Amino acid sequence: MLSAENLTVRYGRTTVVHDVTFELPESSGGVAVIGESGSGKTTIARALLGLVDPAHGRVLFRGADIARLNRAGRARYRSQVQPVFQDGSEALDPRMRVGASIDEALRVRRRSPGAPAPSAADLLSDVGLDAELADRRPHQLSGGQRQRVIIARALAVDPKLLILDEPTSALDVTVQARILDLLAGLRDERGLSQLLITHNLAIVERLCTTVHVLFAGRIVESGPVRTVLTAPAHPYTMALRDAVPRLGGTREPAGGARERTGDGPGAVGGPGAVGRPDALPAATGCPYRHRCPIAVDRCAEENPPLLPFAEGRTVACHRADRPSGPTGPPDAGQAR
Amino acid sequence: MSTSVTTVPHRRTPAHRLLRTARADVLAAIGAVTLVLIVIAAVAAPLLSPYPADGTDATHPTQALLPPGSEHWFGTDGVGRDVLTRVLYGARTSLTITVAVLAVSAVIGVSLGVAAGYAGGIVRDVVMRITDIFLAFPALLLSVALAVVLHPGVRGAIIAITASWWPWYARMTAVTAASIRSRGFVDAARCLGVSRVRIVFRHVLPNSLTPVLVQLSLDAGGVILTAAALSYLGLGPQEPTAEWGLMVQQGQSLFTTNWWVVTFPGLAIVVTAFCFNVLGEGLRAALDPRREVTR
Amino acid sequence: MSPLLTVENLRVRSGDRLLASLDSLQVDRGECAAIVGESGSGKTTTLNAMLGLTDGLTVSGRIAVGGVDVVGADERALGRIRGSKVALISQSPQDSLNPTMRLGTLLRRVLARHGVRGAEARERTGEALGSVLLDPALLRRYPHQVSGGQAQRFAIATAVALRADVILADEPTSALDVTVQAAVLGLLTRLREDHGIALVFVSHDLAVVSGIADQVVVMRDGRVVESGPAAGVLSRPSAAYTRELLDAVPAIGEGPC
Repeated sequence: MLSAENLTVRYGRTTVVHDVTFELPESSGGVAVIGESGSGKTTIARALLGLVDPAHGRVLFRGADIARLNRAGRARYRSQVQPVFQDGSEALDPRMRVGASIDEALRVRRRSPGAPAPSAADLLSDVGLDAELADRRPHQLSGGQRQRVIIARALAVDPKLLILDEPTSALDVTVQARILDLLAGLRDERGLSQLLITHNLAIVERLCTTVHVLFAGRIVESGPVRTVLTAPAHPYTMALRDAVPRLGGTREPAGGARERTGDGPGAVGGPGAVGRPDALPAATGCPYRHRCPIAVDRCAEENPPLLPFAEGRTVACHRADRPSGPTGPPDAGQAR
Repeated sequence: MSTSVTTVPHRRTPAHRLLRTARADVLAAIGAVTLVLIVIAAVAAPLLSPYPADGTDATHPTQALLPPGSEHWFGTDGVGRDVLTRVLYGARTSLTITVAVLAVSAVIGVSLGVAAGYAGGIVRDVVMRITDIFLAFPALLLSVALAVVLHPGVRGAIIAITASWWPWYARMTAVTAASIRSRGFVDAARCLGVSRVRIVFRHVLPNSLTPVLVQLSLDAGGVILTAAALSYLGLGPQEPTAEWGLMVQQGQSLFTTNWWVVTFPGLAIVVTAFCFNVLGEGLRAALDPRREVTR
Repeated sequence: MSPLLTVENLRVRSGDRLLASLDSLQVDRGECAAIVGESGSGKTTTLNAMLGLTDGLTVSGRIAVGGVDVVGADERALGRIRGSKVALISQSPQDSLNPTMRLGTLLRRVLARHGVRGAEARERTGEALGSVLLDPALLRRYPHQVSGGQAQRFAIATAVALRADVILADEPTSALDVTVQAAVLGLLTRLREDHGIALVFVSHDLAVVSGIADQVVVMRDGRVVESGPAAGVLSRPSAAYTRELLDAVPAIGEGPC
């Protein structure tokens, strides 16, 4: 339904998203884009929503470039693709009662013919909130309630796809679990497609079947969530997986794929800074090689392209163990 | 702490908040009450003043420069007019000028500022350069120069002061509007397909207004003083119109011998400017939408 | 020797309302106690009480840090305790750093306030930055020019430079990416082992806590629901609420339900 085609986005001279291509097929289960801050994941969301213009490439809505839609096409695109921003971004107008915020979306829906629109109270109850809360202003609600209101507003225009940008990262784990339940319910009951953008691999499985791992503005690994999480092919995916805190987990991150963040001069500044695209030198070599525990000389010379890895999977790593590929020793990447 | 969120009673209107603040901020409350009294006095000047004719063009040379007493509480001026009456009528002129200057400045400034801040790009550049040109001159100098060109009088004073006043609001609003444009709720509205006009009027404008409202009340004192300065230079309202600045100017030579002629209109200026100022400070606190959860 | 941090019969009230209560907690050199709960549970209030940050609240009971009583202490005594004995690490250290000063200046001022100047200050700074793996060049930057992970490392370095015995950490990793979170948690663990620092760690996430804490206190609505050694509380929770918190933890490998 929505797809990014060779999407490249620049802010000034900094390339934040680099030649990213992926698809969000209609009612296919969720798709996740994973990356840490500075990886360009929020920029991808904004480009898909038409809030920033790509420097190269296109965003296609049902095959048509969203930058070239006519009035009717644009209205259709707007109503079918809706964002759910994270609560921390002031996604609700602080001066408006939340009922008024939802009414604003309903007003848009009533412009187009179709089934009668629900009321704000219906929408609030759909997301598990008391209709009385419509009279409150955002600051009078808890973080979880605000996130539900944001979802209710998106549902007001009867969308087919939700773009969820860190929908739970500002919330307590208990509240996060309930919001994820709500989103999973919407997916199952309404056949709502979802694109989940997050830094936390642990919540991906709950909502998504396909995952794209983003590093420094590039997709470094793609594939079905199950196989990517159980047997990551890219060392960065392994690092992300091992960083997820686990109950009864060991105190130190697991040994094998441990990143070079904790020790040595290469780690100075911490992964948050190293991972930022603007902190990287010119685009020769693999952007991940400074943090990569299995980097070889070749990684400094040549940026690995995204190539098929296994059934339905692609990975951008010279050392990935491809069934038919000539590169890399057989134990690399797949060791764990 | 966010623990109190659930216990906060909802349905609080700005008026409720203002009341609550007023109770807390006694100074702002005193300012507001005094201003209301001044406005009532200005409106009811013909009824309140003992010698209504003195407010316009009557003169009584035989009763010139009488000191304050039971007949004339504030004394009389050089041509025998009751100073109390002149101060009451002067409130009309001074307040008219103030309200007109602030209203016109706010409308021009906020419109241009929101347009510049929300549209960005060329619109922003053009508006900002125009405000730069106006701000390049010292405010009082610009007003004086304009007042010289224009016909001296109430209307001339209003235009002259407005010309140097609006760019501040344009600047301020442009900055606020630009920051509001990048907030999540504006993005959300754009993604819903809400029209640009509606986004501006429902989201950007209301959220840009608070700092301007506060600034307006803080500035009112400044306008009164500027108007007084223009009158003082003979560029504002002319005789026989009663205006505080003009009265001070005419009375200054008499200060050592007949202090009351200049003191009472001077006090009126100071008190009114001060009241607007404390009210502005109070408004700043009252209009913060998050004020309720701070405790 | 008595424990570095002792809490006995602590009650924090706002008017009639009980914000936090903690009957007993002892944290010794090199140990880590975690206080877990949702927002509004009183976990942050408890932490603030340990620093004497209880303006407008009624506090009763006893809190001793390094043998010095905090409850009832005057501002001057508290000023000496804060920093030299206890250091606070907040969720977003960038917000609590003066944005107009370089990190180096900030650190120098904090040290000077505790009487550490000149050569000794430089020596301690170098040592502290080394222990948190921060490049000394970072000291020339302003708070907004560093990442969240770097700011958090800087906050920890400040505590190390002050030779604080106790670090109170309020959701120190909640605003960070998971990879950075893992690095910061590893760092805190190493500081406990190398410097014998006692750590009180406040979090809403039991999974984060399970990797670092020796003992766990679960709070809800200002009251302790369950407490005990981390291994026991996490593997055999006795309170239903603790199980609820455990169930909420997202984990890889469970699959969609």
